[in-house]
Amino acid sequence: MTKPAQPYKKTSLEQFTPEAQEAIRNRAITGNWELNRLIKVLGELAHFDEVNEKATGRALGWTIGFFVLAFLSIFAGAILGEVLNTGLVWLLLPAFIGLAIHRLLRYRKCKKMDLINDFRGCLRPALKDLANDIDREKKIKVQMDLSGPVESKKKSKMEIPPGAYIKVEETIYEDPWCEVRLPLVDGTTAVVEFDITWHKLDVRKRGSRGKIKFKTKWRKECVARATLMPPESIQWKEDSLRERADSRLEKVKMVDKDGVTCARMERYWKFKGGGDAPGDAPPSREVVGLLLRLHSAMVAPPEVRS
Amino acid sequence: MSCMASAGLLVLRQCGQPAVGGCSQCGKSLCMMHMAGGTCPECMAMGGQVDDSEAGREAASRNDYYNTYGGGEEYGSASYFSQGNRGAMGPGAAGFTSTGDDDYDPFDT
Repeated sequence: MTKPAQPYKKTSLEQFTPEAQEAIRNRAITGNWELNRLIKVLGELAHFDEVNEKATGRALGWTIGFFVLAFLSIFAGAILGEVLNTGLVWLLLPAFIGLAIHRLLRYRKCKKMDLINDFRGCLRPALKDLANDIDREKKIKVQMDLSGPVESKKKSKMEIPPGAYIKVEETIYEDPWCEVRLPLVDGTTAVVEFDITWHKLDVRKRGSRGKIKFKTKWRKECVARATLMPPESIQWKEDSLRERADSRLEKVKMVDKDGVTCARMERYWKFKGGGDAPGDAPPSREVVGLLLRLHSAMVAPPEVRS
Repeated sequence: MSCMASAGLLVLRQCGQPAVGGCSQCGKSLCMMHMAGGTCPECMAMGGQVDDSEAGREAASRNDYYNTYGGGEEYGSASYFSQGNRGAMGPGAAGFTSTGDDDYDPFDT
């Protein structure tokens, strides 16, 4: 007899593969991966993160709603209690507070499982675009921390000159969240690293009516660093590569690794957000663009290995 | 005869599978996978035609990347790019300029 279909639980982890479950619990992916497996697991994580984000938003909405209802129930209790001549209406207050706390705990649980968006907005599409360049016989070395700006990554917290505000406190998080080493079909290794510096500004200011208000602002500074490491010494069209770089946002560097000259390009992006950390990520096309220009700057690229 | 359709993005190369026919536009020999519609994916991509096969999407994506970031002998290995590819590559990275509204210098910090 076949088992009846299980109801679909949106954030239950059992629906995912063991690798994805482990990645969600650890908020990290490490080790050596086959390309298709990695793309699949990243897809599962992307699905989980999208659903979890919606659940977080809903839980926050309900929390606020129940606290508002709890506040209103004080007046309702006073008025209806008088009219109906019963104290039972006062039970609404603890009921709404209880529901609000329940939803708040749910919100905090969802928030703790939140993953950085960059892997789904940037890395996964880039891997799909590069799929036919990656040597399927070899594995991709992956080191990803998907937890975003958490306490362990805090670098500094200090007051900065407030300007027009009363007080501004800046917290900086250093988040080198990703390094992938892609073995290409011609024997070259493409190393792609992503670093994020999160700036959180807690602002205290005076409103137009003189009330003190608090606001949180975020700035997310991303750097993608692509390095091409050929299997043996080759020549590079360094001048051509530098000409093709956008000097305001990109940097080109030739680096030496074990006697082999490698080429590296870095590109910078900045995103802003209020309240929550910005979920925007560097466009995957621009990251692949770094690798494309680097590979095309090889004077005589290695032969494709059959 | 082996298939001469392009494969890859960074490491551009020929498909190499056994050919079963030729492209009706450029004449190059094609395998079963690249033969859909009688025209090779590159010719379809360059002509702006939509080919929803995997090979078609790959060719369209490659065309798009090369138009943005350039390619060809003045830039990479000439042997990697066919005459048709070079024609599609456009003026190198001319379209690749910054957005202009960012006054922040990333490498000063």
